Amino acid sequence: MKKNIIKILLTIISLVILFFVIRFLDNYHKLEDSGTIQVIVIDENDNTVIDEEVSYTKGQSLKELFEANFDIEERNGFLVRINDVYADGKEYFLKIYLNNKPALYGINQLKYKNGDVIMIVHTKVGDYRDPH
Amino acid sequence: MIRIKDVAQIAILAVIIFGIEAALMFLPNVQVTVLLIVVYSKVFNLKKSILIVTIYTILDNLLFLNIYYLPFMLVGWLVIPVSLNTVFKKVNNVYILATLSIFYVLFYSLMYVVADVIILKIGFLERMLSDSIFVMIFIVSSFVSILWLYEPLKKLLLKLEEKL
Repeated sequence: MKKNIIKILLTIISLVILFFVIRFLDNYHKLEDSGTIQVIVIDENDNTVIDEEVSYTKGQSLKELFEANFDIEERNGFLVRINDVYADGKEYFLKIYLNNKPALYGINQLKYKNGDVIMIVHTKVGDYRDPH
Repeated sequence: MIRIKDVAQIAILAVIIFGIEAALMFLPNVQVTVLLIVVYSKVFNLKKSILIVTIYTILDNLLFLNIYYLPFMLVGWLVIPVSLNTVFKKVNNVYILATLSIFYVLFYSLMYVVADVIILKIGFLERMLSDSIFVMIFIVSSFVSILWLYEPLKKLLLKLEEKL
């Protein structure tokens, strides 16, 4: 009984810590202002099929911004389709670049600011060539 | 020499880790892989545990068609059976094992960061910070799962081992 109480306490403490860490990091990633970003999409034939400037409002995530401006599909948190550019997520994926550097987050978490360039490139898994 | 029974057992146990990981994929970084490797390492000998972890890691890499990460993942995971069968051989307390899982997750995540720094050529600190939220989820899911499931799973595996 005592053992279970300790386990319950430790579980609650772990979950509380997790909650606060997520909250803190979520606030850290929130956008401060509004503005425009450039969105470029390159398909499997290396053609630029989208090159648009889109406006965002305060607090709008990249996913929300894409949903408002493009036809997108997401699977398990990964962007798998934007308009007609589709990647199965197994052999090919949609690689996101933020200002010419591989993005470290998906469209749900990626932090961006006014003037940023978001490039989405249809990429073969394991292909680490720089498309720029 | 490995018996056919052992080969089958190793394959099944590796597939169990892989299957559960695949089943939990919809929850980013919520996984019980550390729990299963810890239990396997405590129930089976070093040789068997290493084989299970190696097969699981190869399977995982085959699914995502990404062999570049294989050596880093292998090092990240193999530290569990190796340490639990050597320096922490006598450790059986669930709280200590749960605490150890925090370091195992940190080490595994660090291996991934090193892989990304080498393969994708991105900054070390930048990469570390970007993954912090997912590492935290990974730590908590491993810690809590060991806390609650280590003992019943170990008992179950020992029973099955006896029957075999």
